[in-house]
Amino acid sequence: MRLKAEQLSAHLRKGLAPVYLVSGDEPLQHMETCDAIRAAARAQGFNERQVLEVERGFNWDSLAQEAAALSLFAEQRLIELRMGSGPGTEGGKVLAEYCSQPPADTILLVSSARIDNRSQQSKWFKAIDQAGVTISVWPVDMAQLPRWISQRCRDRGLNIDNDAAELIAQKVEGNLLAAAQEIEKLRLLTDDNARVDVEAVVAAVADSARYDAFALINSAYNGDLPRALRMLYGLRAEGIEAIAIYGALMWQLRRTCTLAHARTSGQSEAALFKQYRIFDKQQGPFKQIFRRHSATELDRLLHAGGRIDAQLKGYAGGDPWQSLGWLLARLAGYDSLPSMQ
Amino acid sequence: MKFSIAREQLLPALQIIGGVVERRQTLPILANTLMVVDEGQLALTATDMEVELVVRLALEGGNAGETTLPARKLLDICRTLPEAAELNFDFEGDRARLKSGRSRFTLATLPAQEFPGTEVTEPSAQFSVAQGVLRQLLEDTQFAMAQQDVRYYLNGLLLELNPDNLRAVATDGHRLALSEASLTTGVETPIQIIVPRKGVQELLRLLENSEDEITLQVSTNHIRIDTGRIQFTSKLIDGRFPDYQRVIPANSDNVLSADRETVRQSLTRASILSNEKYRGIRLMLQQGMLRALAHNPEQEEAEEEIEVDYSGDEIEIGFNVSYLLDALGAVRGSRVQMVFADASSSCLILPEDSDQSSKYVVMPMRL
Repeated sequence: MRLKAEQLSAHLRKGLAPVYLVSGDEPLQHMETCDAIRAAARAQGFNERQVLEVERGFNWDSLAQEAAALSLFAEQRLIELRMGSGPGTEGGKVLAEYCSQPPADTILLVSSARIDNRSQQSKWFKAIDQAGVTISVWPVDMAQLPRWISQRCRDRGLNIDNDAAELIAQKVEGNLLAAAQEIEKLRLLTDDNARVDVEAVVAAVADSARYDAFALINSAYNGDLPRALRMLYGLRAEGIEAIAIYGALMWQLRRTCTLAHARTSGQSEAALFKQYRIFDKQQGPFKQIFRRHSATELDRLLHAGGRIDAQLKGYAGGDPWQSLGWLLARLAGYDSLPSMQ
Repeated sequence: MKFSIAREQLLPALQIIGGVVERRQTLPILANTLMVVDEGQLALTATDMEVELVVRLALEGGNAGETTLPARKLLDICRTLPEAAELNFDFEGDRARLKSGRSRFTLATLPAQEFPGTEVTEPSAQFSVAQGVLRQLLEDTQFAMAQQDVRYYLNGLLLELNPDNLRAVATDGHRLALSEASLTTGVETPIQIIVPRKGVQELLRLLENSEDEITLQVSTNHIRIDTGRIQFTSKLIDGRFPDYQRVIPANSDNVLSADRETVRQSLTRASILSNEKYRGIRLMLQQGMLRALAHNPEQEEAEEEIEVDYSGDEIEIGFNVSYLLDALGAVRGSRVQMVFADASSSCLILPEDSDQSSKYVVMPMRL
């Protein structure tokens, strides 16, 4: 049975399934989902918890062994299996076998990174889904984040207005761990029943945005230069090397040029997106950049980007961060770098 | 500082401390051994910040001082020198010159002040015990310790100091081993400490099966054992060991008694054809007979019939055969008793001779 993370607490109130799979790359929801399952298990008398970490050379037999062996100290147990990605062929077999006859006195909690659509068709995934519950957690995107924040505040008895939620969302930029932390902080700083407004947030919230290079490139493609630059300097402040951002930017730009040329020669955008595996979420920025720049203009920008490479390697003058900002500005449709306040 | 020492005296000492010199040192100085010369004695110390070993050697001549030397290299040099060689150490600045016959070595030293000491608080208990007795307690139980379990308090061995006995208990959650020795510990109320796995292994390396007395000291965070020549100190695991008394099954009428070696050999043979994944074996208890059955995914089968004294209920029960073999290998005496309750309850294994006080509890498994 597939559940959304927010349906879990209702499910846990009705009773526990013998197997759970929690997958996804967003750490906060992943952690909170697992915690909720652990807490429910403990409340139902599953007093012993064993953890198996799937690392290189992990012996999958140990899961079968652990499940078959009874415990001296507890009648009911929770076994946690932590794997980075999928279980592989051997592990898949063991998991499927386990799910065909899960022991009644044991709950198995499998946690993993995101499991792609193809692996979701695999036997082991289906076996877990049939015997128990699978939950995938997803990052909350920018548009949904203010609502997510308002909801979380409400759940914690905090009354927040929309602008304030918007501001927190902007500050933390998709980092839910940071958002959760800010909300906790606000809860400590605000009196009961007081309304949290923009001023309260400004006073309390630190600038803990966590950006990644691709979000930055998307912002530039979308023409949102202030956001792109904020992310660029955010990354610099986090100690990210300019070369890493440069690498991501040039990779994306080269791809963009290829697509732009193909598009100019008459291929349909939809077909190109499919061919180059550009998913729904990514298509918007591409459409915007094609509207703004011709293929030749993009070629010119790609060529100009070569100078940053020389700067990074120390045989051209100038600051690579400055040049990265300039390139982003051009991509976003500005002729020059607007001065930052 | 300057001193001379015979290879035959230094080598065993270096071999003893070699065990705790960390291979992957977090601090460079942990690769070194601290050497202190004072009043006709050379003391060598090694630590991995959890276990510390000090070996004391008698020294003729030599002037007082302290420094540290790379332990591994010193051991290798010492081992490869010819027998009856005499080693002359001469320290100057941050170098040590080592001469023996026509061999010369220059080793880098690190200052002794940087060597991490072990701060041990006032002992809360102290008593003497024969080396062999302590060794036996550890040997009886250590195999049942957990390995890298999230229940960190199981990754060690419980020593319980009672007024009139010393008890060792180890468990990994599926089986448990208990052994005790009668002696006066001098405590009024029982003290429980958990010695980490590494400490137990080091202790087994250095304790001999002899009557020689050693001193055992317990303080808040450490256990210290002194043989006179060697001082062993280990940090303790700060945690609460599970209530082991609760899991030792009460008396039952289903008591099997048999020759230990016969049962052990039968089970060893049967285990060859048990499923490698589960190591499962099925025991069938009948009047005067124990049958052991094992089979593997290739449909191969083993069946053993063992004559035993048994007049209890007919029971069919599954076990991890490794757990049974470990217990049967460790239990003292030539005849063994196995006590069963029913097919889903633990089995108690103990020596038939009631003077011997070791006990093993093994949980069954689903087959």
